Amino acid sequence: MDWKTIIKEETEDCGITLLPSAIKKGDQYRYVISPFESRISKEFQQAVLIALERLLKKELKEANCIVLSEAKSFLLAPLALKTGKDIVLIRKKDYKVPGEIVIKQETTLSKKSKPDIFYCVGLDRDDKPILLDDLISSGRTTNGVLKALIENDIKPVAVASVYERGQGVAKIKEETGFDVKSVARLEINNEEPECIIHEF
Amino acid sequence: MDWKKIIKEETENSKMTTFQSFEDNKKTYPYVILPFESRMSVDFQKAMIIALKQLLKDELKEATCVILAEAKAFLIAPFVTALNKDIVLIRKRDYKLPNQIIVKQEKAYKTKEKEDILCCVGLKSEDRPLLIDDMVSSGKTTLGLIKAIESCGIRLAGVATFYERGEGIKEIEKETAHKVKAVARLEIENNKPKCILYDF
Repeated sequence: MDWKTIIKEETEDCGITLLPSAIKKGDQYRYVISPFESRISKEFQQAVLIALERLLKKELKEANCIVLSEAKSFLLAPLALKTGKDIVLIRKKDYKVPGEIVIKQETTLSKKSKPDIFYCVGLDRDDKPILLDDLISSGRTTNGVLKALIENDIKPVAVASVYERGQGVAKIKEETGFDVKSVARLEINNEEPECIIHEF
Repeated sequence: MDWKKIIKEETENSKMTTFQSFEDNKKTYPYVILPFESRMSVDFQKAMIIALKQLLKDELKEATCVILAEAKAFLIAPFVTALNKDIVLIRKRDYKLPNQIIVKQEKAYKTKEKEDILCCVGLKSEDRPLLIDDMVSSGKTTLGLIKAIESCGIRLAGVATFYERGEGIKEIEKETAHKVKAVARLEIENNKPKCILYDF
């Protein structure tokens, strides 16, 4: 089976659950439990590697490291090994050391959910990172990371994700000018996940 | 490749930080910022895979998948991809599904929430999983996971960690029938990390 079919089929086989909304009390929203939060089959692991190498063919030549944000994105670590790049982590833990980059997630309308703060201690000024996510949906985290990196004079070679949904990619373009590259768009149609593989 | 040397050197080159004790805020304790939370070089990624393959030679014959718990252990994903096995995730998010496995873990330190909820939706009853962590220190998380997984009638093919420190392994071995395998022991000597590799 080819990588496109594997990604599409395994994504569309995913379950959907209802989770309580952080924006309005009592509301629920539909949530796709993607392979990155339940089970990543060996076939899916290989398919994602092929897809990302292809999607980022040009950028991988230039980049020296891959930046992954806690937590699900850490599961994209195999791309770094396969392409010979360092892995740099962004964590939700404040290490309180000099040189630490502090990243504030953009705020939402919600009063209940405070924006997360992330920390990165492993990045150097001369790094050429690719920022890689499993899913960009609101774009809030990615926007926060991009702004913090740029403030620290680090310019990412690329911003990419396996899935994108909602308006996140457009918001990132609008606020930071970055074109996000992604493998597939995730939608929910008639209570079922739909996975639309992008052309690249 | 001298994987032992790479693991030892990169671990011992880790930065140190000081955290405030949660029990007594006048006290502080030293903390090693390991490669798993800052930056993993390509060589370290390769060394990690060689080490784990050698450590878990016997268990890998039997295992059908590898369980990784949020968040740092997700960085063991390249090892699982190299083995061509499924990755099953344990997350800090409650998916509110009927067949999920829930682990309630008492926090090792005081925070607003009294306990962490860990949730696993990707295990199948016929699985023989291998549980691998990046670090066992108090052993509480790993112990909770083993008990929750086994209470669902799933038999583990083995339990392992990359680093271990403190008395965690002893605690787990006392309370379960499992022998916990580790690549290296982490100590702090004169406020510097010391990495002692096991023979295996």
